[in-house]
Amino acid sequence: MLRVEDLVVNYGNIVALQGISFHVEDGETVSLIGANGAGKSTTLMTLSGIIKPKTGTINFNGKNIVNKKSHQIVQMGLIHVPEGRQIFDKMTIEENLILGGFNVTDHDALQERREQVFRLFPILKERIHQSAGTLSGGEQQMLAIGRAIMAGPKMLLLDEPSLGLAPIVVQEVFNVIQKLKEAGITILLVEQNANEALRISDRTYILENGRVVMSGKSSDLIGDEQVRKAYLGGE
Amino acid sequence: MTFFLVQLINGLKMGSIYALIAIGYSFVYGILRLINFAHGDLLMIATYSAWALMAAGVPVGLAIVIGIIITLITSLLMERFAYRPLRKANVETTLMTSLAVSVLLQNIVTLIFSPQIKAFKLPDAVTQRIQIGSVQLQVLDILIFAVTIVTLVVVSFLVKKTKLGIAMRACSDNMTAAELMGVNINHAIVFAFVLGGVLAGIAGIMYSGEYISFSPDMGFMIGVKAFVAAVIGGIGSFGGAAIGGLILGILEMFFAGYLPTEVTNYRTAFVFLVLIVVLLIKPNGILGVSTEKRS
Repeated sequence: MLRVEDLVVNYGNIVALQGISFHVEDGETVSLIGANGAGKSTTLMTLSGIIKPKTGTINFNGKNIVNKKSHQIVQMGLIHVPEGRQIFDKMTIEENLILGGFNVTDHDALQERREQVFRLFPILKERIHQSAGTLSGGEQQMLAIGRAIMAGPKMLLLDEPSLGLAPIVVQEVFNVIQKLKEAGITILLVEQNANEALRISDRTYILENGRVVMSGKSSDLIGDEQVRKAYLGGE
Repeated sequence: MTFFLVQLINGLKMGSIYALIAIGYSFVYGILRLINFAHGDLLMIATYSAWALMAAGVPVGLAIVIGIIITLITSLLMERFAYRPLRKANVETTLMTSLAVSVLLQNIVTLIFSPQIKAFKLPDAVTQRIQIGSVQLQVLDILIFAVTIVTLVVVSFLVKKTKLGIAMRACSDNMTAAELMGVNINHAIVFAFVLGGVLAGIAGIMYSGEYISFSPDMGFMIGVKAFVAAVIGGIGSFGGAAIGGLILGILEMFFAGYLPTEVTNYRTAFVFLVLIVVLLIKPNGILGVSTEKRS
């Protein structure tokens, strides 16, 4: 479904991605893990057209999307849940959801997805007319995911969905990701919480300084001595 | 009492005009963080266009409508050729550019129509006076109130309920997130300039109808005052701009009406005094939202 080849991204003189390649197949959940500054978020921002790469190709469902604008990429079904939630906090939850389905013209599909979002996150239905800034951090993350569901994603890009959340809320977020996975949505997950990321994903790529340094089945990596030392806090 | 009422009505009139201009300022600032000093000059464009058309024999109503459309087009041209190339530039650059656009517009009009002060005459049916209770009003005054109310209702609907309006607010709230939702940023920005242009066009006709004399530099000071109104109300907020405009207009007229003539010449200075006081008490303006975010 997604095939990235030799992606190079610069920020001014700084090379953020030094030619990374990876792929995500239909229905797969793939995680990108690595330390701060490894290039994880940059990768996602490039996939959704916010940052333009210097060289490399991004193939989504058979089409090269490197030169597409963000709104065109969204229309193709590649939906990004950004780091730090980035909800519209001055707007209501209702309006946030409307924006999620901004380019969807099929009214019935929108209605159906709304119901789906409310089934996943009943709290959003209760607070539908409240401004999104009044939600707690965990609820805002739910809204950010709900907003993405409204777009009818073929593939979701989740950037640090557990960042800054209390442990119990982190668990809730991963339960939701599990449900999305079971619903057949292809997921590319960026996480600092390597433990959870390895547990929930089928395959994992480990990034370091803008390079893929290791990749493989998550179940293999979780048992790997080196990975345990570097990313899972020793033991 | 009558004097009080007269000043209140004058204040509401001036306030309505400020409000319409302030809303345009606020929309554009909300999305681009651009203080568009050329926005006030759109009033002048509207006035000169309508005046020239009327002088050429076009019926008043049609001349005004075309005048407003020309203002809207000017607003769009500004966006396309002055501000769009500077999307990624810093605030100082865009601020200076907006001053340059202001000077440019004033000079173009001066070249075409001469710098002379002219008179904007509306038909007698509009300027005739009518007696309501103890107060004498022009038909124009009532028109100004009616048009302002209708305009505010329409704009509020457009911004709150239509897709473009929601897109525009989303861009003001969080531009990157709006892009990730599939909002076409250019459409939202153009929408802000369209609304701003139409509102400034309406305000320009109102202002010149009311104060009759006009010249190429007429828009600048009103524009600056309307910007003050937007800041007082809380820049970026639609309701704030409307309320800020009304409050500023009323305060200014009471100041001019009740204080001795020696100080009323400092009317404009008073406007800035109000700004300073408001910013000391509420740095984000009356309806301004604090920029701190909940984590």
